[in-house]
Amino acid sequence: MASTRQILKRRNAVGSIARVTRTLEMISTARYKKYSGKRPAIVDFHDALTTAAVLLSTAPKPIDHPLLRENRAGRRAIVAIGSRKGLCGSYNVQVSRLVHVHVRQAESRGEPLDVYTPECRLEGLLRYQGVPIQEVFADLDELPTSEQTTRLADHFVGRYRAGELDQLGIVYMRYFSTSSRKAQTMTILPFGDLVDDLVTRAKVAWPWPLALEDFEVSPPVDEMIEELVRRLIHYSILNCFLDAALSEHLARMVAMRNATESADEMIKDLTGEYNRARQAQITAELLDIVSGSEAMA
Amino acid sequence: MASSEDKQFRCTVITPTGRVLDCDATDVQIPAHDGQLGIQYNRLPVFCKLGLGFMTVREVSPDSREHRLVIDGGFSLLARNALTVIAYDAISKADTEASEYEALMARLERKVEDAEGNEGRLQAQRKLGFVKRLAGGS
Repeated sequence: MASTRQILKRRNAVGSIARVTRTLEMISTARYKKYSGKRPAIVDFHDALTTAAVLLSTAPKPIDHPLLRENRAGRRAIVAIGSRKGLCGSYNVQVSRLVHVHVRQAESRGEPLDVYTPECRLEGLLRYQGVPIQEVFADLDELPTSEQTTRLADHFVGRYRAGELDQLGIVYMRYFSTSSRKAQTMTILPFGDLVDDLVTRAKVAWPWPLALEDFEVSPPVDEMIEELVRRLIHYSILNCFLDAALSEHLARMVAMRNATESADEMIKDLTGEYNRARQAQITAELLDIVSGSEAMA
Repeated sequence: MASSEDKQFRCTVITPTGRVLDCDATDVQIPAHDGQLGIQYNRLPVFCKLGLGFMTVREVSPDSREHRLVIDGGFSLLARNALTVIAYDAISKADTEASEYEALMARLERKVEDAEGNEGRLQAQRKLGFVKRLAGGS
């Protein structure tokens, strides 16, 4: 049986861990609340842009735009968003599994796949697993600012326009509800694939039995498509980062709550063990005194 | 005879920070990219790009309340008597406190100073002008 001093030491150590996990849970709860407050507005705006994009996709003649054309460069890219910090359960493992699916698909097609990540824990995990990282976007916040998102979008849009890229996808942890999140890929480019992807995700993609030819359109579609495409790409990227941040903090909240509960339970067990050990020590000392006095008598 | 309430349509203004307006209206004017566009009940479907300018909405209410907003770019979609304004930025007089105006104008003035190129500076100056007029009620 461990000595009372050893048990106390262990109890104190577990107490310190519980304090850390409780603090981490509180930080993640605060951040989760902050981001979940922003989400409905961004999703609403994104859905409205999707509706406009779906309207354009009903054009009688296909719209000619560089981002709507399909490239044949034989190169694809993915941006994999992992967690900023650790202690969030299997978050990064789930995202990395999906990255591996893309890597295997690219290998079977015989096409190179460029993997990009923001500065996150996933980067180290992927490198350890032997996945080469093309570039790490170190200047991105957890929820990128408008300028950062535009810079990121421009980087890939420029490459797509130059015909260097066939497809761009974002691998991230999609947030469904407080009890549900799943690693998924959102196709950002070509733009047609993005609209197809968003149609399956939006609450109501197109509510009216009308097509573009039923609308008075001003300015002509060719003049406004560029701006709509850029805005939708921008908000799709932002949406992915927002979902990833929400999922990360939710995962950490759950993991830290479980860790705190386990630590509290451990403290309870160690306190019982300490009391028993102390009682045994007292009994042993009393027995020593009694047997000593009996021997003296 | 149909009353004005029968000739109403839904008007929603959506921005990246939330819904600025969601009401039934009888008369709306939006700042299209090429000038103001008036919308009333049963108008033909329209999809247009927005510019910078005032949007006015006459709400269906006992006092026919009029909302005035500054819209800075976006798209507008009207179909089947439902108008959706997808605005990149919308400033509503009703939702903005006097102190917020000061902060907003200070931010816009800084934007005018920091703007790169004449086009950006002119755009920021025009927006500042609209916000000042909105604050002043003219």
